[in-house]
Amino acid sequence: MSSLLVRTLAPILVAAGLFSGGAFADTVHPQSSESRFIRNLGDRAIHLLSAETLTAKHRAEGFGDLLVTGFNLDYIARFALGRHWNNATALQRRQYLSLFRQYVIKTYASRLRGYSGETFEIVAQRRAGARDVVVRTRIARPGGGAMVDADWRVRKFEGEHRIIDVMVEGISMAITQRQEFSSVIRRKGMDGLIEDLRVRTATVKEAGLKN
Amino acid sequence: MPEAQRVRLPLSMKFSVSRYATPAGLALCLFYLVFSGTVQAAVSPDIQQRIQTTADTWRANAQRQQQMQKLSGDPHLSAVSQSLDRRVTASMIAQAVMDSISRDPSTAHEATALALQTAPELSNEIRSNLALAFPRMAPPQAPRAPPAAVTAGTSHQQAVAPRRLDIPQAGSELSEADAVAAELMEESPGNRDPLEDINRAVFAFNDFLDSYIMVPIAKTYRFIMPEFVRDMGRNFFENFNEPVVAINDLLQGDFENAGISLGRFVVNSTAGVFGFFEVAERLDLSEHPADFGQTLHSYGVESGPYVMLPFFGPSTARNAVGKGVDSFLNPISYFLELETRLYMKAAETVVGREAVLDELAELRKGSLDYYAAVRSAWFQNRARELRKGAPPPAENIDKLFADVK
Repeated sequence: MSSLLVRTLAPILVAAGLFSGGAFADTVHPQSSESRFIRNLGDRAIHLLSAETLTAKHRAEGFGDLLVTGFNLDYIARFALGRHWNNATALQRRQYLSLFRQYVIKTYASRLRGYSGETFEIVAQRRAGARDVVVRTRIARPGGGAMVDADWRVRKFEGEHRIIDVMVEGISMAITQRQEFSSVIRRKGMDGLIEDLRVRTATVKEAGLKN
Repeated sequence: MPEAQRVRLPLSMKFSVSRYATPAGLALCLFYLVFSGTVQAAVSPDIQQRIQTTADTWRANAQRQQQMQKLSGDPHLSAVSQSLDRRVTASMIAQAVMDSISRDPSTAHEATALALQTAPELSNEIRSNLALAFPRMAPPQAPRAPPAAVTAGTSHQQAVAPRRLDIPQAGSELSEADAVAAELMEESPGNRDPLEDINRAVFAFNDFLDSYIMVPIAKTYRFIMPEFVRDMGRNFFENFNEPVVAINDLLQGDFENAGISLGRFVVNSTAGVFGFFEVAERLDLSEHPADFGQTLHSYGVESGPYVMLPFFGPSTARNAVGKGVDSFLNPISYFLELETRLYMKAAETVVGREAVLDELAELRKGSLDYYAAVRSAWFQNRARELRKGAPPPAENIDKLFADVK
């Protein structure tokens, strides 16, 4: 089997708040609002994971909330379409945005549930382009194994911080999504994409149901 | 060839295929290497000097500015003047290239390559300057997208390894790293996957085998073996591959990384007991990927189309040849019998499959187009391997995010 190490989505977990000074050029001030934002989000996530009294359903809902408040799903949706956004009608755009939101919550919330016990360190941060800050976190997997670096791209939307991309081991979530959707649109058109999203989000049970 | 005693293992076929493919692949490679570098005239030394001096001056200025900015702390002002510097420098370098071309048109590719090599950080700007003057030189794959798009990858190609053979990159060839950059800049993935239909068919076949054979085996392995045993397995195979990494580093002229790799091998094999334990990391000897496909990339060999190989999974022509050559490169394997090697290969496959069991399952369940998701992830991962694990060049991706809203 080819050596495809896809650690696609690093979960939002413990941000232990250890800032070991990063060596990025163009570094942002250590106590920047972006790194505090990431740490805060991570604390909420670990709280969700370690609270034993929560049922699986509540946990999933909690993660859904984290996703919606921590990420800018509309931005990611537009990014994932790329230039196809300009060609879409207003109706398609509305449908797409709402379906994308459900789709992300469904797929990523279930991934997040599967992780536990890892620790986070905020390692460094850098300015990326005019509007973004990339916060690098180091995740230590329990039981040894190599550390994994996750880069979180944070941007301010109307004064609020939102994550717009996660990059793990060189693989960016937003870019992968973009290329995947681009492929679907090329084969089935915008309506085909919307239809596929509808099918994906329509299944009743989250886990354990083979689509 | 000791193929007569074919041991009946489910995956023994893979091994025999690679042995036959390699000599042909090697021959093709050498053929390409030899002929791709010819028929180019040399750029005159005064032009080279001009380009070099311009780039050096710009870098020195930029450094000074950065230091001053740290003291004064006004990011906006410096950003504006930085971008002005970039544009001016790029246009001066482009002018040098154009002078070279007007003296001798056959130096076109050589001069462009030289300019891009000397100032990789400015490759976007240089390209757009040249495209304005010589529209014919713009890469054919990007008729509407800005010419800078397709070439964004060359900047991090330069950073992969010092080149040993001086083969210039012609403007229209794309490597895997470029493919990612090209896709990032709105190129339709279809251009990068001309064999898509047959690839999808092979992918379906691979997926079928994977679901019904590999996944059950990997799940059983995971069920039986405790975590620390599985970690030992992963460490062992990673260590076993280190000699190949070291040799490829040497082939690329990257002595520093070759030394690190050798150091890792020695430390992990002794203190880490035959590689079962990862000790070298604590001595700051971090792992980095290297394979013959990467070596070929550093020599400037084009990657070829995306290919989904039966059993092996995603690849490109160059990468496939690389894997074949790698199977010959490990000195340890010559001390082992065929049967041992085959058992090891099978074990390595299971260990590797188990490592990505969850991620691939999630991808498969969650993605709208599993084939496209795997292709995208593979390209990004491969681009990272070609950079030897270095992070992606910030400008490409930053620009992508800057373009949306």
